[in-house]
Amino acid sequence: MTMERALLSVRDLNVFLQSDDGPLHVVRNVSFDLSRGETLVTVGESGCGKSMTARALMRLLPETGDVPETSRILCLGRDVMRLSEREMQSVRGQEMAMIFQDPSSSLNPTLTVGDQVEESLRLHTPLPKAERRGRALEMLRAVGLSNPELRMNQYPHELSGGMRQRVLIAGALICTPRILLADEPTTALDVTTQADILDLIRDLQRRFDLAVLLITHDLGVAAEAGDRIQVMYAGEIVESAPKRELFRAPAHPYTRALLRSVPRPGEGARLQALAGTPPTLKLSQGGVRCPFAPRCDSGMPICARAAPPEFHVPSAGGGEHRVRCWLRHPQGPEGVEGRNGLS
Amino acid sequence: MTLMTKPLLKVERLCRYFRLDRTRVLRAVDDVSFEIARGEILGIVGESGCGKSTLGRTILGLHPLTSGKVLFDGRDVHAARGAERLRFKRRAQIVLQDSYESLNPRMTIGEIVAEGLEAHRIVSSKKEREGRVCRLLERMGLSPMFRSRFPHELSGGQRQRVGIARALAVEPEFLVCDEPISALDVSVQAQIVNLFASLREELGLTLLFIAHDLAMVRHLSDRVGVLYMGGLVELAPTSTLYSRPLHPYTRALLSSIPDVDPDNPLSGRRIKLSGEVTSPIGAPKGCRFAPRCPLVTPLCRDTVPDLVEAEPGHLVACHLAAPSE
Repeated sequence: MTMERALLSVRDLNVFLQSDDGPLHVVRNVSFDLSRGETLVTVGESGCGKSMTARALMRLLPETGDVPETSRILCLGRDVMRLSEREMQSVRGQEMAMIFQDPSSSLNPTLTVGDQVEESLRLHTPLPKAERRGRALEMLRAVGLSNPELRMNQYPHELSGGMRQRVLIAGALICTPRILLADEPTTALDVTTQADILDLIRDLQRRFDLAVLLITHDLGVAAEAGDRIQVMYAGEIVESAPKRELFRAPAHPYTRALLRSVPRPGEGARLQALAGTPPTLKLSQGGVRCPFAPRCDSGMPICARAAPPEFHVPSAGGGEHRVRCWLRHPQGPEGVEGRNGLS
Repeated sequence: MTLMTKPLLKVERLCRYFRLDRTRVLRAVDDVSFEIARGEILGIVGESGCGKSTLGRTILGLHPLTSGKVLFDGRDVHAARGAERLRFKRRAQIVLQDSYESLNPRMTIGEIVAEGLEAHRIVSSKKEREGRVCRLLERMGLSPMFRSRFPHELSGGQRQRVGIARALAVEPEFLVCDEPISALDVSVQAQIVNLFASLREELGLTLLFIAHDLAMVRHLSDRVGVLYMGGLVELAPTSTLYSRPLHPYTRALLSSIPDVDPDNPLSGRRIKLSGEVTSPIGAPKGCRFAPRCPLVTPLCRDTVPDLVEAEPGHLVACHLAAPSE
């Protein structure tokens, strides 16, 4: 984990939220790097903390959200945690931009497409209006919106879901950020439109030399779009590996269970469903045991007594493969020394 | 399967139009015909706005129909009145997508599940009612303790189980499942799909399973129909449809599913469609899919293709896939 080459470096990120049921610890000691030109995918089910991680990076947490001082977020070498709100505004849009799941609610229904796409330019640059319009038009063309001159003057409700997501992407990229955070960008879309948007993100990534952090619950989307994949469960990254490695040789029992619950052609009548539900993220819980232990099919006594640290997994295809699971302790059943299980 | 037994449900040239104003008509379901055999699971797939939910509701008589006929066990659903209508409502039930909106937030889980039992006078005593509710919840994998809880206290997967328990309380033979898993997480989806599969085996239920998730539909269904802009464009046994799709839309749809195998990238196999879905408003001239079809011919723009049997049991509405070819 070298910090020099990464555009974005996250170390020990923790996020706390206040809820009706008391304080929640929704992101737990999350660390990762995002390098130039790469797509890192965060996969997880609802409530695992994947969206809150992305929001924390942009400092766009809900009002009750709190990130302790020990968390470090370096964006192009700048410590995001220590920036003033004013400085942060210039980071948003110009260095790091974010798109969301639901393009309808992220667009302002009272503004035309053109006004929304050029908004960042108006905030961050002294460009005159005519120039801004020109850039916006160029950007709408770049995201493959049909008939961009006409679209400039239309309102969001006049566009389909796929077109709205294109507009949102155009607005996010107009100030040429280096990093794009995409939070479930295709979840609300139909499968054919989803494939179009995934194509578009890949294409723009090449053209604008973007680093992309893609958040999804869909393993198919992750397999399609990612270079590296990290799996989140109960606020923690439980496994991270290069894409092929993760799908070929998943090391965490949760990752394995997720992969098994996806229907594949030619299989029997029963899917191998994961029993139970994820734990709540209440502050008091966690730390004392592996959060996946109650649902795990390969649990050991140690799993209920201590939270596993991160272990390195020898990787076949190169690249770093890490997992938080006692099975991979050097002396655990699947560890490198492969001896007896831990007691 | 359909040839062997008398179908439980027969849909004949079903149309459901919505008049928008004096001149414009939205054809949500347009000339759809199919049969479902007793004990069969028929999957219906299509993208948002293709009319699949309207189709499910019209079949159950929850929407009036514009023309056509729905026959359940030989009887016309939409002509049924009074006691006959009530009998049909007991035999055919629906499970909806959003279990949060479809469960009354002010009723307990026990009351929700028991509602149908009372409406159809299936139970005579409170004790009998409670016993049935408990057995149903247990069958769904929920503890009977849930009886006194409210919908908001449950997870999405648990609420969907309650929705299914409510539908099954009156011991129906036929279930329309309208996107019953799309709001759920991957691991929970698998639990619910398994539940449907075992219910079919144990109770001999007949299912119309409507969804946009092609992989789950494939897993569960005996046959699958593809709906595009209100029209059925292809209908075939599941393995046939997924291995030898004939309609260009079905092919494009199947080729767009991201695979969990990273060595099978979309970019290598995907059939891209040009343009956005056109409007289902007004009468179509020619094939509905013609404006986006990569194989379009002048005939397609001019004449609506009929749904014909291209090979035994495999129906397709496409001029290019017709058996004469």
